[in-house]
Amino acid sequence: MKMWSRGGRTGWVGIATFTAVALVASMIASRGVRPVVGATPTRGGTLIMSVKYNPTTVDPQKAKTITDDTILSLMAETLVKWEDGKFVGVLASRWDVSPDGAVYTFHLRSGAKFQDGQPLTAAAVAASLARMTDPANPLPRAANLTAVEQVQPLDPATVRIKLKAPDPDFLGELINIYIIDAAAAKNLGPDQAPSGTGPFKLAAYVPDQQLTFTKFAAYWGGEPYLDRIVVRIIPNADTQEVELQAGTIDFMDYVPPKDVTRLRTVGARPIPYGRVNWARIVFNLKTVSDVRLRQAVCYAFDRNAVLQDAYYGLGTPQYTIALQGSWAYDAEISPYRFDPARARGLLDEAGWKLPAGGSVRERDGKPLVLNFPSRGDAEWLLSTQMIQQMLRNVGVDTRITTAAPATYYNEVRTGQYDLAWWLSNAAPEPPIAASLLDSHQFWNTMQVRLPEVDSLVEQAQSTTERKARTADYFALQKIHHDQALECLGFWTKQVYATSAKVQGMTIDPTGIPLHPALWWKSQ
Amino acid sequence: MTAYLIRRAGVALAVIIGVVTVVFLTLRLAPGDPVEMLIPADATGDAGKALAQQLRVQYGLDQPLYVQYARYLRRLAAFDLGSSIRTQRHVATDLLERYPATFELAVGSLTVAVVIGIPAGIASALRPNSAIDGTCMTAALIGVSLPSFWTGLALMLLFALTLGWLPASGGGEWTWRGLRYLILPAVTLGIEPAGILARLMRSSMLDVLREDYVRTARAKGLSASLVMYRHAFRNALIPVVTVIGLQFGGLLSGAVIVETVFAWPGIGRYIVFGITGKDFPVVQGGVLLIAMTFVLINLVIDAAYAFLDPRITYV
Repeated sequence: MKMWSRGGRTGWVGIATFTAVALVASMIASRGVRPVVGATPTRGGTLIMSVKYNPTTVDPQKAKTITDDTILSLMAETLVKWEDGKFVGVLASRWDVSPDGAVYTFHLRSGAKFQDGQPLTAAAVAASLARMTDPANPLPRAANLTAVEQVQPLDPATVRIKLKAPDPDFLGELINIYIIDAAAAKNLGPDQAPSGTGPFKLAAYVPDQQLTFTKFAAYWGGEPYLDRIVVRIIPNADTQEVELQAGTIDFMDYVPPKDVTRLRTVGARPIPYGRVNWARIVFNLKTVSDVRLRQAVCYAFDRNAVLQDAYYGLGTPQYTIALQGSWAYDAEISPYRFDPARARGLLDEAGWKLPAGGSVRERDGKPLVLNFPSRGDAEWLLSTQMIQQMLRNVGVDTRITTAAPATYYNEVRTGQYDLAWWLSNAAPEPPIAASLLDSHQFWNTMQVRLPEVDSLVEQAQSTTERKARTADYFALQKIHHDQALECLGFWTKQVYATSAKVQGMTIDPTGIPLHPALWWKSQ
Repeated sequence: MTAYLIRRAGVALAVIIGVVTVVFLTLRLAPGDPVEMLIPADATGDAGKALAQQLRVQYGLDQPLYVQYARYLRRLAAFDLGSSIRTQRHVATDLLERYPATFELAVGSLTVAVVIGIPAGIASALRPNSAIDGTCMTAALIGVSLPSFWTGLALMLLFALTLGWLPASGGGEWTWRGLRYLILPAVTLGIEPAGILARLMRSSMLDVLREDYVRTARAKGLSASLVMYRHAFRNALIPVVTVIGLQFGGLLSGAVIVETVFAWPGIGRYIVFGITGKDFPVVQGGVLLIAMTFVLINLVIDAAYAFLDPRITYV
């Protein structure tokens, strides 16, 4: 071959290029981060966190998203939080609940103060809650406090919250209601943060780039170990992983399921947390009105395959709407398990037959085609596509359309769908995904009012008596199952990751890193 | 020339009004509700609906379309781009904060493109069908073909992770230290236009070098460099300048993928985030900025023609 011919020149250039790429790839593959072991907390230093999204606000009371909470919980705190399967006091050292469940009396932690030096008092708590629910300008999470009738300081360290009606789950409403110094929070600009009681205070904010927090030495829980926390906005997970591996950041949020195992091999520490969402197939009960069709979909749905292949096993199969083993869980319910033969039988029974030589069932000459919108991002779309294939196997055709999240949520909420893959936030209490079944909920997707379901949900939420609640939730589970209102999939887990140097960090079930005052970095 | 500029300004204004009108209507007629994303997941029906209505009133979304449009134009005339539905920050402030970073990245990547692409194209044209020509054109093809997402991550893995020479992400500062952050994103973004410019420069130079006046210049005994730079290069540059201008306009619109990969705080991902979240004021403000940028750049390009080619005059 003449090396100097045009084809030869191109060939040599191609070989050289390939060789260079192979060399680079081998250099990259050989690099890793050796884990560092440390035992005694050391003081000082800067922890660099990274999150994918810019916070929507630096005012903790205006927080709307988990990213807002992840960042702003460094500087502000709530009365209570959920940790290790129970409510624990943060700014409240203890609380009393009246026998009827309509009055909560919180005893505030002594010695707690705001970062501007003002003490935490019952009056400050009342003012803070009033700021959230100001009728002239209600803040986003004012919806959590609609049950509150009155907030009354009884003495400087005791505040009583009287509800309009008993609410056994009221503490769960408070876990993301931050207490700030409302008296000093008037006329704040969009980049100005009010004073909280948290271990760190916001020192600087550059939108789309980073937030810098410095330690609040007078924090009631003790001076934080770290001097500073910097939160960088890095929108791409691959970039976050490179930075984590390189040691230029110490924490990343939302590790893609496919990368969890790989991060372990390079010395990072993935921290799974859950139960974050529950994932299931929801139906538009107006258009998918035949219960046999819905039941057939549930039998055709292989939840374990979707959990393993789309979510890399990060989750727990869900067989009823209650958490298995909890007080709300009805063990008598026989769940829908993957059984395509049974699905086909139900469809035959409902009159949807396979035409000769065809693969899509028909009834009265009309093919069985369901509208199946989806979000466009990885796990969501893959799950939708897998379910599409499962339904195809039993003769049900679906039309998948993808849209950006905002459009997709609107389509499902307003009934422009037949079935959809849907994830919703799981509150810690009660241990049952019941609230969204109530047709009065803004995010109810069923498009049909079911008075019996509404009544059971509202009844269970209006009494503190455990036996009565259990009976209501058992009845609810039976209706949910028998009517196949949804095809339950799994409770999801998500994963954050830290470098091996970071110590003391834990994550609550909703994704908020806990105890920032106790975080430290080993050398 | 003055009359020409006045005419162009009038046309520019009409173009900008047309663009913002189309975007305004498209956003409002497309499916989706911008305030829904702000309703908490556990909002009861009454509280959720009340909050949604409050937000619609706050942003004027409860008004008829023509009322919204009239209000929008009135605010535009007062240079008020409104506030983000998601963050309540002024859109003008957001764009002004981010535009310097976008400008910096655009200048950096265009510099990479011009510094690599034009000399490569000239070298190829002066020695057609040689080893240099083959190497340059193959490299140009590779540059045009590589997706920026892959290129960026590959450069990041090599220079930031493996060698540790450069930072992996961040930047946007107009400082000497900030230049280190600019290198990887600028090279990533500049590779594709470098390839385009190289190929365009080569073909344009070859065309010009075949012209009679170039043959005449050589026949007159002028040196090769004089023939090249005074006669050939300047004429060959005319179509290249057009493409450079269009590329610069495109770069100033923000480079979403590169900004996302390198966490570069530009307007590209700001606008895309506004689109996915149906944040109307953000999208409208961002599109307005992009339209004005393109119009201004086209004006500059046309003026540059008059400089490059004395035959071109504007009346």
